[in-house]
Amino acid sequence: MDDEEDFQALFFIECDENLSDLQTRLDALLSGDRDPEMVNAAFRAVHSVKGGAAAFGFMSLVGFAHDFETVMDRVRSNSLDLSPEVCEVLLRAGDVMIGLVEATRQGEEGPTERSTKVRAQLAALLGTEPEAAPAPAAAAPAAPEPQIHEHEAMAVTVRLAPRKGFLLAGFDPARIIRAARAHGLVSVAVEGTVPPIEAFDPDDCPLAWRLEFEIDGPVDEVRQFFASYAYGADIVMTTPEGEVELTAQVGVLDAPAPLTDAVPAAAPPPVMVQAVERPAAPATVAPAEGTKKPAAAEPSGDGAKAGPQAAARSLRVDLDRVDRLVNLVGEVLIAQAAVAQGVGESDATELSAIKPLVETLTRQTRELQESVMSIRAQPVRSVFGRLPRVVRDLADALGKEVKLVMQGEDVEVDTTVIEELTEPLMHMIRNAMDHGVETPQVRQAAGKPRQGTLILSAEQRGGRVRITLSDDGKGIDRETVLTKARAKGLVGPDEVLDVAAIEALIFHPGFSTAATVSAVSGRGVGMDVVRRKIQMLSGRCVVAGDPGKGTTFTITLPLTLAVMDGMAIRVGDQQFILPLASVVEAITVGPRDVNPLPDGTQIMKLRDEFLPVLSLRQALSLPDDGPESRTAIVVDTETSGHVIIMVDDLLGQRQVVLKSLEGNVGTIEGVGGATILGDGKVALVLDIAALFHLGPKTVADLERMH
Amino acid sequence: MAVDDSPALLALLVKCLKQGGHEVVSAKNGQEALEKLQAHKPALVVTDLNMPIMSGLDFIEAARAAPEGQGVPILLLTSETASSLHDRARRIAATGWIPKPLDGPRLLALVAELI
Repeated sequence: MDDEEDFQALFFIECDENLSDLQTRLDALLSGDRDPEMVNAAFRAVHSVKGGAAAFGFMSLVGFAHDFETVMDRVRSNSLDLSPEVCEVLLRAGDVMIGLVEATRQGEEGPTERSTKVRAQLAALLGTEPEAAPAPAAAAPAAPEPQIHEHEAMAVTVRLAPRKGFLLAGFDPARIIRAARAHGLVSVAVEGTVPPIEAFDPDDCPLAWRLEFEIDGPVDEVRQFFASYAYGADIVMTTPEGEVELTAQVGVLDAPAPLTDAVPAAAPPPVMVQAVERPAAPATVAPAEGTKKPAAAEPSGDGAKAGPQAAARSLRVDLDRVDRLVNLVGEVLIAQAAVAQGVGESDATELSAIKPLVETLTRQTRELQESVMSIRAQPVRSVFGRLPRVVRDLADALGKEVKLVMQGEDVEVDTTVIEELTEPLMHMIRNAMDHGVETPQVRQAAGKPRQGTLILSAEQRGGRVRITLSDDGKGIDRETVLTKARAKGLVGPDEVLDVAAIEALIFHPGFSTAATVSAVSGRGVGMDVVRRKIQMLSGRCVVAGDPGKGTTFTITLPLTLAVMDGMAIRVGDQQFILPLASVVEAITVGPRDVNPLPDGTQIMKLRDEFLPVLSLRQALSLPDDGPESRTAIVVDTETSGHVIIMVDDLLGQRQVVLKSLEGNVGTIEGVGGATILGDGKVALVLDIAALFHLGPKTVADLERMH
Repeated sequence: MAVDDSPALLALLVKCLKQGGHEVVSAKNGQEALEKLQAHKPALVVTDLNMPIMSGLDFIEAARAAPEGQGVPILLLTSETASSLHDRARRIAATGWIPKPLDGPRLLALVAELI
């Protein structure tokens, strides 16, 4: 089929949805939820993947899904108890499914070491039941007996006795007989009698047919033909060799055989041991239920029921289309701002009549923009949902006991932000589990519960979303951090830092306090990466530790990257926008405040602190002929601390629609994007941190743009 | 009529039936299928088994109780082989079942036999 590839792509998208749904359901089951609908939904998710995989012939995926599904089915019918061990195997199976789907998508189909192992565990769960074995597959032999495939005329008799519902099911005896002629039908006899009218049931067919065939082809053809009707009728087919079994099914007779491959008949004991050994984590999660309930109860409660409904009422739209819409609304917003500005500044009396209209337009445009942006919004659940698994795996790897409590999963954030959020969150969790939470023994000795708690919460604050991750571990050891930083030369020997500054050191590139580099974290890149990534999203990232009690990381992010609050500034005759989030304060600079350094850079003392000074005129190579600027802005670059930039004028706060430059002029360092102002002029959005590290070449690039 | 909750499989099924020269109405679940059965009176229905809102079996049961659904061949598309399933399917007068993966030519041959 020519567009089979499209179907496959669609299948993989569905797989992703199903698997993410499955993950949520399994997590709910693990945390003690026993809603039958939850089990059902999980079953359906596995089943859908299996169905799709079968349609495309991804047999190793089908095989695995089949076993998985069989176990789920047991759980569903209550013949398998949902013990922590079973939950654990199901979770692993969910993980393996994700891996298999991904491998299949990459064209690397085939069972992996892990999938084989987990499959054995699934089989072991089934093995505990007497009638467990992969019965359905085993019951599907029915291979046509080869010895009857003789090509000579053979007398075959078929007795077809319709069951009740034969006619209801759409079978038509006259049609069957007509069609049977093509297979060598030589005579037809009717058996039975039609009952008197008062006993006559129109749904029932009291007659049976005796059909005699003279076959010179393979008998299997006739068998196939009648197999189509075996669902609605009792069919006995007799050949000179005896009765031929008719499997009650339609179409192909070879049942999906690959389902049986690689299922060990008996579960190897070591696997069982391993499955039993592990329940530490799930068992200890159960008590967490109490604390988790307020946050988690809602999604599990109505989520389960609303799920299918919600799915039916949603529309899948290509992200490009949405982006186009967002762009267009951005243009409308700009045009509207221009109109509003024009009307607002005009004194013409004839315009005063339309001023209220323009205000309405302004309000509605803003609403339109918000609605459009909300299309791109996604609940943070899609990121949070993957984390319980990360925590579980890590807890295993590190020999720690940790439970993850999540709050505010419904907070919605722009898709782009969501995508970029996963990596930093993973890093933060790894960091917290590796460096923050202690081992159960240490915790017990410190009088804390053996199990550590991670609380991950999201909340919306104005136009930003705040995500906090706090642990109840050992906090940040400020002494160690400082000693280490001194040893690495990050801090001068006599430099005195306040608590916040010391804690902020952990974000410094190349800093790591872990005594040994573990596979989990401690390479000294983690937190640095987190901060950089968050900054790329125009966010901020801070840490606060309470020695002995725990650490809290807080990230704040804009809800959307497409609209930004900015500070408009003027340099020469150009307008620029600074992200408002990075603006600390505006100051007035006296003529002698700025001191040049020998290397050509400038510094200025502000409240006992020397800060680097950057003149935008020079940095952007703008004509330096106007009156000397007196206005400066303190900007938090978050990587190199506060810096001061000299500007000619502050124009005020603007909400701007960000336009990417990449599509038009490529990436330019020092410029984060562009926007169109109310008067129709283009203003560049400056990235001050990058501007400070600019080489001459990039400055020249910037110049060319103007 | 083709009924499947998975858009990919539904598309595949519809395409297959269309290649056989049939006009195809599609539905995403049993509930929708039941409505379309009454509205479009299809000559034959191929339905998936496991679907949200209304499963294939529930659909067949409901269809057989409605005047429009009597005598219309309804094929179940499933990879399940459990005999309990097929006992129930037979009891509620399902016309037959087609195993997954979908074998296009076989399905068409079967459809031709039934309508």
